[in-house]
Amino acid sequence: MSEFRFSDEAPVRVTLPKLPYPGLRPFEKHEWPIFFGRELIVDEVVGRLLQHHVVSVHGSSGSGKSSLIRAGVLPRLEQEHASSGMTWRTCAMTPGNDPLGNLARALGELARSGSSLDSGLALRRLLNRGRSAGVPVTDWLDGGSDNLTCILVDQFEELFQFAKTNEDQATLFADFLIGVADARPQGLFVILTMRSDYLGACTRVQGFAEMVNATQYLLPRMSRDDLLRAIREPATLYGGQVTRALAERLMADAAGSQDELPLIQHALMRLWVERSTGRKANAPLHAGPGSTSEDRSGASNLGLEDYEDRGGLAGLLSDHADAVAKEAQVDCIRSQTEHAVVESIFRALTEINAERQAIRRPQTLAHLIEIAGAGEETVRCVIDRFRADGVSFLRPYGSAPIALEHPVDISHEALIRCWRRLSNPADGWLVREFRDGLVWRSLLVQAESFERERSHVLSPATTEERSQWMRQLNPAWAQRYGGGWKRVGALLGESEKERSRAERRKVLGRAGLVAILLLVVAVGFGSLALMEAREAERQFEAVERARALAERRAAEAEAAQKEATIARVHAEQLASNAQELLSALNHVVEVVGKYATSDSVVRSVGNASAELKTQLENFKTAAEQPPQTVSKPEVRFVPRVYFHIADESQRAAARALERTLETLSIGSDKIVVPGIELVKTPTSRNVLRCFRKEECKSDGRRLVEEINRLLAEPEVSLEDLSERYGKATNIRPRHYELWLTRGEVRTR
Amino acid sequence: MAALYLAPEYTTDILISYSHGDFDATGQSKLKTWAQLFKRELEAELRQEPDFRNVAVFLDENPRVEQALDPAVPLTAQLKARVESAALLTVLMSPDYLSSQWCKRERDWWLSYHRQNSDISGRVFVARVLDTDHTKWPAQLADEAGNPLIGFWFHPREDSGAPIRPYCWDGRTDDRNQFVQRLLDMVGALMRRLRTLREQVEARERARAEADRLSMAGGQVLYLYAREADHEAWSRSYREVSALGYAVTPAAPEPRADGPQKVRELTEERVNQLVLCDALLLLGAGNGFALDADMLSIGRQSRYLARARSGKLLPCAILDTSGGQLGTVERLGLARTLGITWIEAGSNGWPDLVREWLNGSTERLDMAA
Repeated sequence: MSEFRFSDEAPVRVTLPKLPYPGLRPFEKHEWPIFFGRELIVDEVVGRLLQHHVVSVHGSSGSGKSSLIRAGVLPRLEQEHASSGMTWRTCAMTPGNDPLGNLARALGELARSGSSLDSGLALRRLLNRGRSAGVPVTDWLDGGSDNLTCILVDQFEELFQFAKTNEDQATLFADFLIGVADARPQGLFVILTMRSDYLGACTRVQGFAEMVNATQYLLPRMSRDDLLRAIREPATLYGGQVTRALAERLMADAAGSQDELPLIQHALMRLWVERSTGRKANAPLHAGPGSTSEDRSGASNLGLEDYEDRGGLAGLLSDHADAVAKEAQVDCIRSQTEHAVVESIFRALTEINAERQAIRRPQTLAHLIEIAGAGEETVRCVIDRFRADGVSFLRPYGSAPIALEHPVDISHEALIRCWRRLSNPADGWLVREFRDGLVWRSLLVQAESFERERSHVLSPATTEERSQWMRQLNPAWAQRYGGGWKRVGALLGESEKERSRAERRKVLGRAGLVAILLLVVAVGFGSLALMEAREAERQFEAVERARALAERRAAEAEAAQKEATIARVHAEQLASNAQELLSALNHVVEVVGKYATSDSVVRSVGNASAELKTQLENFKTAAEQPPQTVSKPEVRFVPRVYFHIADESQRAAARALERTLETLSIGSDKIVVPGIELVKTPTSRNVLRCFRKEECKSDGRRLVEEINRLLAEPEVSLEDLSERYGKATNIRPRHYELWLTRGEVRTR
Repeated sequence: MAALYLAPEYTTDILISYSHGDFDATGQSKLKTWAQLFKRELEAELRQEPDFRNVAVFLDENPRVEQALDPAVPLTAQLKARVESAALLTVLMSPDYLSSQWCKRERDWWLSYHRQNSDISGRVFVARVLDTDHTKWPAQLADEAGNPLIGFWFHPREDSGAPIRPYCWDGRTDDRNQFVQRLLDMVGALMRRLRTLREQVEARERARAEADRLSMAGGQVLYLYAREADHEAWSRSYREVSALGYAVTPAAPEPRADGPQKVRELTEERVNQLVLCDALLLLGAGNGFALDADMLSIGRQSRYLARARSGKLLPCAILDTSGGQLGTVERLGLARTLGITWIEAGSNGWPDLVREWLNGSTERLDMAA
């Protein structure tokens, strides 16, 4: 709503914002006193608005459309016409999930009498008239040449999303705008802001593209002089200054970057707060109390020396984000299980789109709490740190509590691009999330296969790795990649069982196998004995009963072996079963000795029985040993080599290398190449990076040998980064990176 | 002779820093010959463009004893001044350059002087003349991330097995095309940077000229804004301010606008006149409501639009003719927030206050420069 009320009784008060620079977020309307450098553009937009009554301002994401209108155009309308006694009332809305309702409510707030609720309903009714709604809405607002209203429809592109679920309302909303442009009702004006990549979608409503064609304004880049004023003017209002050298350096560093304005605004805010509070670099910072025109303490003079050696604009932003993350970690995280909350939140709020660009991904607070797997209080605390004044990395900005169903969003994609923890192409959160998503999807495919055929379980090495990996995740996270938490859980559960069986079989080893073999032999001899005595029905039945008992006991022993998950329990069960088995076999021997007619058969069975007794004693002894290796299996990591190529032309050769490398093993461990990534900033040398001293000596050397054997060119050398990363806890064991610099790559 | 391209701030536009590689101390070497060719061709290419006819390229051709710097023989102050006065530094990269103490000192002079005085990013160029190990390049020739500058390759990048030599080396002419192509790449980048620097030099010149003009004893053009309703106060102020030796415009108070289109027309007219003026005076004549609105509408919106169009500072003051009634705490605060000075007309010595206001504005201009 309009802020200015000119009267003798209530003189105008203008309060300067807390800081002369807003940082990464857009300017708010009340920040017009510090909004400089866009005067010519504001003038152009105002001229078009007065002429056409509708202006469609479009530009790329984060180009400053919203700031331009909120802190430039709307204040100018209100202030400029005040001298002539005209009143401009302004309101802003976004289409969201209720475009007509939101518009009616925003206009209702401008009502001069009655409740805004009643006004909103009356206006909502009028808006159903579509193209003919402009004039009655203006009448309702009592519009005229001295009483003017301007509506800002911010983020108009939301309407296209909404149209997928409610085309009628979306069309009515677009029709209202077309009607205003056609009828140009006296006193009613509309400004739309929209991302340029949605221009094509404007053809979806009949007549809307024509309106956009007639009213569009592509937001231009600021000129050098304008940018210079945007950097230097605000500081002077606070009694400080930014030297020309610093301003020029900031402009030079940001030149050509799509994040030019937000990066500069962030750097200035950060340097200003550091200077005015005397805080050390990288310490968490928040804005001080608001300063009014009477309160200008904390004025700062910023020069090049404040900016040198800070890693440039992106480095400043990244360091600032690190400092806030550290603060959140200290202030908010209460237990070890919550240690990854910051990472979980930012992974959930970002994604890589089809064009391989890192983009924002708004999520409701409730969903973020679920994904983070931490308490609501913890998640709120972390988010509050990142949206505080002087930080503004997340929105909604400020400290007002966020409703659970309210979306939380990253303020500007510049943060995603610049924060190293997020954007690191090797192991940044964005890449980790992307890889985890791929892994989850592959597990879903595997789970489907497993559901068709129960023997299709994961290999023991994969099972171990995936089980550990899955413990860090939760069903809410999995929803992003197709859900199926229980299905994948079932796959892993069965794979775990199979792995345990394999491990246990190892422990029981030869003794168990021999026992089973001898059992078969014994049963064989038993059968021979029974053939000898088959004329005696009674004898036969007795032997048959004995054999059945032996088989049952043997089957029980085997089942016990297969089903065991805790080896000690199984060992005890097996020892007990072995005793019963021995008794049963003794019975067989007794029956055979009693009824067999051939001496040779009796001797053979006797020998077999003696041998069986010995082996079963061995078996009992083995089974009674504490099977520690089963209950605590050794965690084995296979060597993984992540490929980084400098040029797309290298991909084919890299793939060939990947295929051959994956056929090789180090010891019993297969070499795995999880992926090939094209990097923007390649290294200057062809290297295989290793991160742990002992790994560099063993796997590293071996891998380099193999790679150089397989590659005709280039030659790869080993880069030992163990001194730098040796103690890092976030690098998986046996993690290696192959970095190829520009140039030809050929396999032999 | 016409002024140099970046005069008066720089007396040399491009400084070529190189090592002679003259181990025999004959005063001439192949590297030096190549450097002289480079300088000649660079100047010739730059001067193809009319606005670069006066470009000043400096190459120190005096023989020096390479890699055996005698600390007892100081470089001349004249040479140091020459190095410091150069706008751009172009390095001819070779193994000799990397090992030359002369070149190191030259580079240090240039960097330390310009770092203190301006932003040096994008002002160092590297021409790769002979193959070098870039890991041994000085850190000053690297970007923020520590990566060496890409530079311009004046020798083949492919390793043919033969020793790497730059194009047009030792009198060769068959590879002149490649030499010229690389040179044109470099000239394009140099011109772009020189033009940017000239814009900056001109902006500073304008600011200095404006500061000089504002600090004159009289003769400045002041825009005196008043409403039609305050015609009487305006007439009186117009006469009094004119009597102080200032030219006052416009010739009448502004009429009241009727409708937004009329407001726009009046704004356009006002801003067009403002860009021709040196400063803006808002008349305070008793109506606080009107003055509040004028401070925002004229003192902020119109003034900053005129500033954007003209590049001028356009200092603004309120000429309070109400006898102190208008100067409430809130209003004074509003004026201060908007960067507007408050002058009580009719008070003792108020003409001096007008002068102080104009002269004081030069501080901001100095700062801007």
